[in-house]
Amino acid sequence: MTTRPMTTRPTVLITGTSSGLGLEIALYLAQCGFEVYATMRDLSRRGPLEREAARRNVRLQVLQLDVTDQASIQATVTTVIEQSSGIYGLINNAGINVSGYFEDLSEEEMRQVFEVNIFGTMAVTRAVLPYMRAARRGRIVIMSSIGGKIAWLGATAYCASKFALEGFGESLAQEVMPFGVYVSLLEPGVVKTELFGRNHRVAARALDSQSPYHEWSQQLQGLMDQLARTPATTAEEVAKTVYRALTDKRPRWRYVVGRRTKLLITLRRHLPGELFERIWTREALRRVTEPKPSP
Amino acid sequence: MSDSVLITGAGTGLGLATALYLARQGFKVYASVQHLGQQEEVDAAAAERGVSLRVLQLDVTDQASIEATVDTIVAECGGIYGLVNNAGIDLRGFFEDLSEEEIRRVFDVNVFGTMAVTRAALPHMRPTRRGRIVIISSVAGRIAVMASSAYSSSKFALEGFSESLAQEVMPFGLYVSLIEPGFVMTPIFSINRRRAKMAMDPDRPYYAWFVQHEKMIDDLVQKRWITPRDVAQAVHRALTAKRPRLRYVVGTRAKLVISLRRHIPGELFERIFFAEVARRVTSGAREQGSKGASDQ
Repeated sequence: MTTRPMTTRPTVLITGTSSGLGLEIALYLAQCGFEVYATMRDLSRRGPLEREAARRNVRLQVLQLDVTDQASIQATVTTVIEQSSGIYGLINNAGINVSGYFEDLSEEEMRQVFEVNIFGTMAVTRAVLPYMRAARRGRIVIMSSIGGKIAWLGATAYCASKFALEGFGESLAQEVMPFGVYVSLLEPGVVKTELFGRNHRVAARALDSQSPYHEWSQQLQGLMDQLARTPATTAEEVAKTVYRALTDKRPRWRYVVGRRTKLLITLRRHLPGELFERIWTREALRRVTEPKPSP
Repeated sequence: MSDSVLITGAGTGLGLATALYLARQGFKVYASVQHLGQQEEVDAAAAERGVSLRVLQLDVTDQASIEATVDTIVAECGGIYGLVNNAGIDLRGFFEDLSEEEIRRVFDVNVFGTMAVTRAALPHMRPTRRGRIVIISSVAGRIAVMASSAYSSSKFALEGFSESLAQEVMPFGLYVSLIEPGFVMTPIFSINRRRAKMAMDPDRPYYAWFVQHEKMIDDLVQKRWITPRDVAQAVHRALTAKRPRLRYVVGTRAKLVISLRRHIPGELFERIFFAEVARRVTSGAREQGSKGASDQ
């Protein structure tokens, strides 16, 4: 099952496990034999994870951790260190999205996305790294997205924050590799999770019919709903890929998850010049912008 | 009447060179500086080249100053044709040596500052149905190296932001372009080079590597691969091309490295290029006989 013999089960800490990808990753890794510390901001939402864990007959620890609250990060990391053999894997999964055209996003909404996606990821990573360095082994997985490689309209906050994670992960990987610590970025496509449901927030002004972008936002929402109904990637595929990033002898820098996602990223990479960008933009505008809003 | 262009961070380096170059090309240039103390220097540089431009105070982290400057330009010109988001700061140091405060400062200027000025300018660009937003990114926005996680991350963020914004405002006849210069000999790499406080602490586990990496960067910068003028020309192209590109890479070597990264299959580039830098940094640190990395 694992690539290395294990005397004690390696410990992984996962953020954002109350739903969606985090929930599936926590369960899957527990099934694979990891000692899983599944964390979430709001423990009152632990029900679905615990019920599913019971159903699958796996054991995991649920702890409170809000990636924007330094005290909760410290407390949880300390607890995990005391209870376990040290932290082998950190899965930075917690993330939010506030969609909306840039001019419809308030500065506050923009900053909230960065607070969780970037500064939150950095804060948890900062807290865990000293233990990994001391152990001279460890894996840090960062949940990026296809939105970290290819940006689309109505998603400046999400895409900018995911691009930022790509830069952060790439730089950090080089810094900690000499300590035997590997960093991998995961790039799933659209997954049917609550990021497109409960956790999906829309900028307040996008709902205001006075906004010059209002009609386009509506069109875009329809398109995104449609995409979420035929998702490019399943949560299980993502969980399996996390497992690879944790166990591959030489983990990849980036794992693209899902066939459609791979195709897009490959096209983007290899089509000459800015051909991909031009096609991508033209398609986006045709589907979202061109059905002219008002007569 | 000539088109108005607002440039942020025009007190030194790329911003100043771009302001002067665009003024010479006939744009009505508003060169904004963080502190008005920088005005004299900018005015002197303009006088020396025989060009005219207007210096205004704008701190990209100060909303009031952004609005005041945009209002001034709109009052004088009726709108803004070009916005060149140039203001930016660097932060050198391995991630664990960066304080949260230092990282936030980089994002406040590079990312949220750029967004704030863009947010203020856009309503004055949309009605005219023509305009250009230029964002000064960096090769570091495409390829992140060690000891620059905050800077690279902020530049990557600008790449994602611009790519998304470009699609949003294109229907209004507005174009967004990213400029990606390689190493330029400007104050950001010399007197303005900002190092994280902890990075200079010899007791830190990354200290020896950091010192070695800084030496490598010094050598690179000394080679002066591109000049601020090359960057100014790229900005000019983005402002004047009929159909501007989304990205302008500036410098032959920057182009080469980015296209290698793009076309070498799989993760071969990462394995070769990044591994080579790491090898030089770690072995260089050993040869210096300085204190090696330890597990503190």
